[in-house]
Amino acid sequence: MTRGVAPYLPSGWGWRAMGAGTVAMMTSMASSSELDPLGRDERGGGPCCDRGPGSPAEWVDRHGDALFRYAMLRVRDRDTAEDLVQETFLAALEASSTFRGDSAFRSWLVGTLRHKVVDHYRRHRRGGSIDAAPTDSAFREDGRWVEPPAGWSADPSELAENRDFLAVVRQCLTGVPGRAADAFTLRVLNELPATEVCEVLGVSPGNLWVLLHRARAKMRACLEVRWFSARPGVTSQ
Amino acid sequence: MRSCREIALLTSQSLDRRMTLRERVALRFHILLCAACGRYRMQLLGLEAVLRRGAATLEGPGARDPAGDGLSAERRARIQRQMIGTDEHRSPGGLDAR
Repeated sequence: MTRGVAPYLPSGWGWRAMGAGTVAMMTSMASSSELDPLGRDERGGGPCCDRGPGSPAEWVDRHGDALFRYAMLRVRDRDTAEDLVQETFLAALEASSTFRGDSAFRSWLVGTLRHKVVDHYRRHRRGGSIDAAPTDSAFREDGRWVEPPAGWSADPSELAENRDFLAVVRQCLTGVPGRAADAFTLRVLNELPATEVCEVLGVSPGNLWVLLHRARAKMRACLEVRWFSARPGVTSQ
Repeated sequence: MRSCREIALLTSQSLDRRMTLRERVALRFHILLCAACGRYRMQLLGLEAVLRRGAATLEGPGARDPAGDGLSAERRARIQRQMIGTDEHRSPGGLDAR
């Protein structure tokens, strides 16, 4: 059963993005456990999960904090994150009759919020030009490293479950300058293809490469200082 | 031979687009001779992997920072009021499925 778009959704909300492609994408997301980061019950307790979405007020209690953290990581602004979560719940109200089971509902919420994050960036493009050849303090004038990357004894790919490490990752992300952080968020955290990131942010591919390069370099350097060389027992090779 | 500065930019791009043959060769060749850029590349690859996988965990409960733990009580209440209000408004029209 399909319903029309909610007449009471905030104006300016970009439902134009919700074409058939979006729906297909969200359907495929629902089957991907990797993209269902919130697939755990925060308040419920007990092994049950598919007891249905419950009442709208319960939705907020059950999923609100996790959705907020999802948005907060990606927009880095409390008010904006809360607005996006609010819009997501209102959209859920409109589609509520289509949900079967709580975990599918979660997936739907996350998928919808994910699109709202992208739309947020599309609606709030930053102006100004991007310096394509910035002075990069990591390198000398002749293009050599000022301080070559140190060896890391831990393999970062083994740290995906380490909450302490991930907390440091979040802190480091806040240190990445605005537009580079936006590009990094859409490309790496939201896993959009590079061409789509260019379209959303309104930047050329050349500019995107520079932004992503800056973000990764900054993240790498931050994590080196705050994790890989700060840990006792971890030595440079 | 390209400089380390150029190779760092190219390394990042290799995560986002297909490299040309010339670029792949330049990257490989440089890394063969330059341990620092080789480490840089491995670290970027590792971070990319952990962030893509960890993006699921990053917003999980417990991954806290001062501003990131949850909705404010005020906002939670506002959303709930708004949703219940909308619900009541809609029910008389027979649109409510429950």
